[in-house]
Order: sequence, then structure tokens, then C-alpha cells
Amino acid sequence: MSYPLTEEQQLIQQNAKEFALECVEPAAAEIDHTAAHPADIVKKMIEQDFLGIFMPSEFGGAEAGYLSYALIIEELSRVSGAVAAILMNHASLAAYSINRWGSAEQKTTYLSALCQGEKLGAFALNEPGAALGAGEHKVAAVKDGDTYVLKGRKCYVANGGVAGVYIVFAQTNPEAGAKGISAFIVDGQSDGLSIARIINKMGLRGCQSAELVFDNVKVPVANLLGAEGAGLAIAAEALAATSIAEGGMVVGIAQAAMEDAVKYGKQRIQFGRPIASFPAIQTMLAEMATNIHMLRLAVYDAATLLENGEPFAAEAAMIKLFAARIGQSALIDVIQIEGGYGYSQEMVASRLYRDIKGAVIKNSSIDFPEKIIAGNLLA
Amino acid sequence: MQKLLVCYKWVLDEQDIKIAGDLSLDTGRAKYKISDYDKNAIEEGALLAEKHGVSVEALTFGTASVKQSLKDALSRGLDKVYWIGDAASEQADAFVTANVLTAAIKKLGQYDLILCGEGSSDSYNQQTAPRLAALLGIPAITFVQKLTMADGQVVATRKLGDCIEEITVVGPAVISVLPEINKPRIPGLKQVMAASKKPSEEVKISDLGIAAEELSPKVRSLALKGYVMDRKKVIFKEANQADNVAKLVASLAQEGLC
Repeated sequence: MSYPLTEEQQLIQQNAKEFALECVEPAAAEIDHTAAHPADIVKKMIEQDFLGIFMPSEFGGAEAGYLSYALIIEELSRVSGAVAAILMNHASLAAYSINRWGSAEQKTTYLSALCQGEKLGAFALNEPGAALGAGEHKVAAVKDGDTYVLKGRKCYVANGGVAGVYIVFAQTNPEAGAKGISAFIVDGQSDGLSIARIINKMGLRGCQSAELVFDNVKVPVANLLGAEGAGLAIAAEALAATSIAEGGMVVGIAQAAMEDAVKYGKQRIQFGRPIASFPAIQTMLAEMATNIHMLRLAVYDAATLLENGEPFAAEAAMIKLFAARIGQSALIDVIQIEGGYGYSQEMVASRLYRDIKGAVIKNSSIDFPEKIIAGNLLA
Repeated sequence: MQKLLVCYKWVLDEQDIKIAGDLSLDTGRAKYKISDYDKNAIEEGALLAEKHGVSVEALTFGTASVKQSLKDALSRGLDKVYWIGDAASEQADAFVTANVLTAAIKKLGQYDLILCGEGSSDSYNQQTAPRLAALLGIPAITFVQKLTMADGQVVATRKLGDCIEEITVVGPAVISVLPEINKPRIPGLKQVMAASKKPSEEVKISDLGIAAEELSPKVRSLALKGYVMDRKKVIFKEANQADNVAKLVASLAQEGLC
């Protein structure tokens, strides 16, 4: 493809590819098998400055831009969706939120720690039975002097239990519904914060998802992120920014699967010739190559919009919608091409299938993507 | 020792080169990269510079596209890169390359050590470093797998077939390194971003006073073809596995392989 990447972006892409193949791929199957948090790989990502990739240099970030970040997510996802997911939850949810809405003190204390990899970030948004936009959140934050007291449960918190900094969404004004949700920066070592359980997931295993319990966790007023009631807006933008990275993740996983199918299709002989010579196989490959190409262009374009400070919510929603449509179907076709081998755990396709499913459902957007896209058209 | 220089080559990435049915090479979609062995030389220069607080610069000679290599090179720990982008490199053999590099080095000034990869990852002639040393009138130390600097001299460990030779040299000298000398770094994001702020300088061949015959290659490439190793596609289908093994061994023996 000829998307106009800068020399720096091309180098970052090339180096990320080398890093992924050398430092991540050898461990990818084992990470999937054990579902253990790959702390050694995170340490290597810190050495590559990945944890502060698009954040400002004054807080220890590399200031390499959001498109470079999407490129890194794509390359990591080609070998391990779990490792990409760890970085994604840290960078485009937690660090992005503090960088975007944090006070100078919050950035000095927390963003610096996240950029330099002293702490991993996580985003504690989801609750059992609560739709974000509907104001059904039950985790409450009650102001008591110079602290807020948080009480309740959060589920499906990626990086939960291994993160040192959580962005936690809680109700500060239950009567206001969705507009009463506020965001807080919560230290992972806070008294009263505990892990109820680690969720045994189908895919993206190794990116640990946990259920968190907040048992009267005291959070200083100074750790309120943005204003009271701004939680919904914060979550909406952070989720939209993350949709772009998730698009990159789907591109990376689907690309890896397609390359595996091409390799298999050339080798597998049926009826005296490679199955890749059959029109039915070629149709599937052509369809997935086209879809991956289109999604990649959309990801690069939206990442550039974000990087340039232009509106990107509608483009991010398009990525969310399109990635969900084409990601899983690509993997279904890859497994179809590879037949019984693809269905077996011995081939990489089954892991990629489970990972891509996670990539397309992982973080909900603030609303249905169709509604965001149409709303933008009709505004 | 105060000043190091690394010479590197900007080559086609062999992974991107496709071999067509007629064995011709399709380089249409091939990207360029710093030659793999030269990455070892750059890394060694950067490690020595970081350890001993000396400066390390680089020099490269290629077509106009060699300019695209600068940020990659600079992100690998170099202080500055001098580049010569000229069409003369298209047909250049080791004779021409060494002539151009020598003239440029004489213009740039004195270096205590000049590091090269043992060979380039495209043609792998292994000639540039020794030729460079001969033209500059300084020692050439080849096949180096370990390098240490102390008290103004360099201790180089050379790998020579079945034996190891350790020698000491006082610069200036040309040293060509083997891939096992180190593992080139994967530049971090901050190193990549900082590369844009580091200096680079173009050196023009026309300013080097090189005679026309020194730019005329001694070796001309007549054709470059892909090589495909044909498989014999022999399958032993005896019911008894022991018979298959016996046939395999007999077949290998017939080929002179065991």
C-alpha cells in the first residue's frame, strides 16, 4: 500500500515488526495457553518506549503520534492480540484520558508513571448489567470532605490486577443518570481495592481481565479527572480513540490469518493441484484482502485525524462497525480454507479466531456505532 | 581513541525480492534497508562510543535513495551521518566503492577506527574493508567477533576457521566485524524521534577529486538470476518402515551424502 507514512512512521513500523517477531512471537502461543500476564514482554515494551508512545515528552512520552501507535498495535497484533490489548488498554484508554483531561499535577504524578512504564494503566468502566450511556452505573462515589469514597464492583477490567493506575467511572450524582457519572484516577494500591476474580476468557488471553471490588476506597478530590459529571464525555472520547486502535488490532490479526491461509493454500494439494488455485479459495482470499486493505486505510486515516486534533468520532465509529463485520468473517474463511488443520489447536488460526472475536467486542463504544455515524450525518 | 567511523551500505531487502518463473528477479516491490552485517558494525561503533564517551559517525555511498537511510542509521546511536548519493554506485564494485569511501574519509579527516560489516548482505564480496585499509595505508583487521578498547588501543578477537586469534592494534585501523559480535538494537521510539534532530551531511563525488578510471568498475555484472533448489521428490513407500530407512540410507550414500 502507498499510504503516505513519514520516514519516522515507516521506521517505527519496521522496528515494531522486528520487535514483534523477535520478542513477542516466540512466546505468543504460551501466553495464550497459560493466560498469564507477560510481564517480561511488557518490560521489553517499556524499553522500546511503547508505553508513552503518543504522549508528550515533558511527561516522559515519545511524542511519536497516534498513527505510529496504530502501526505498533497492528504489528503486535499480527503475533499476539493479547500483548497488543495490554498496550491498548494502557495507552489509548488510561494514559489518553489523563493526557486529555488531567490537571498538571495529575499528569506529573500519574501520566509520567504511565509513560515511563513504572505503572500500567487500566480503564474500569463496565459494570454487570449496566449500559454506559443509559446512566445505569451503580459504583458510587460519595464526597466526604477532601475525598470521594468509592463503593461497588467493576467487571471486565482489562489489565485488572496488574495495573497500577485505574481510571474508574462512578456515580457522583445518581439522580442525574448518565450525566452524573464522573471519572477518577485511582491508585492500584488503594486500601479497599481488591480483585474478586480473574475472568477466564476465550481469546486475548494474557491480557488479564478482572472483576474489581471497591470497598469504601478513598480517592482524594484532587484525583477527580475533569469535572464532576464529565465521565460520560471522557469515556466516549477515550472509547472512540480506542476504536481506532482496535481497528488496527483487527487489521493485524486478520493479516496474519490471511498470510497463514495463503501459505497453506499454496502447499495443500487436492485433486492434483494446490487448493489456492481453486476459484472458491481465491474468492475468499480476495474478499479478505480487500476488506483488510480498506480497514487499514480507515485506521490510518482516523489516527491521522486524531493526531491532527480534528474530529474523529464518526470515523472511529465506522472503524468499529466495519472491523466487526470483516474481522470475524475473515477468520471464518481462513479456518474454512485450512479445513481440519485450521480447526485444530496446532495451527495459529484458532488462536487468531478467538483473539479477533475479542478485538471486535472488547470495548463497547459509547453508543451503537451506526447511531454515532448517522448522528454525525444528520447533525 | 576519540573518533570512530562506520561505513554502511543501503541494500535491497532480500525478503522482498521475488523470483519469477524464468528465474529473473522482481525487485519492483522491494524496499531498501541497511545491510544486515553493517548493522552489526553500527551497533559495535555505538556501543564503543557509549562506553568510552567517544564520537561515532557514519559514511554511506549509494544511489540518491541512500538519503532514506539516514534516520534509521542515526536512530542506532550514531552522532552524524555523511552520505554520498550518486548514480556511480549503481554499477559500483568493491574497487569503486573503496575508492569513493577513501576519498571521502580523507576529506572528512582523521578517524581512529573505521568499522565495516564483514560483507554486504546483497553481494557479500568481503572486499571493501581490506581495500579501504590498503588505500588509506592503515591496518585491516577482518573477521572480528569481539572488540574492546582500552588505554588507547584496541584488542580484536578474530575468528579464523577453527582457531581464534587475538591481536592488539593502535589506531587508525579498519576493522570488519562478524555478525556474532553483537545483536543490533531495535531502536526505541525516542531514538527514532531524536534521529530527526541529529546532523547529516551530503558529500558530493564531484568534490572528492576522484579520477574517472577510479569510478570505472573492474567487475561488471552480466546477469542476476534467482536460484531455486529443485527437490528430488522421492518418496519411499515400502510397507515396512525398516525397508524405507534402508532405502533412504542407500539413496543418500549414492548421492555421496553419507
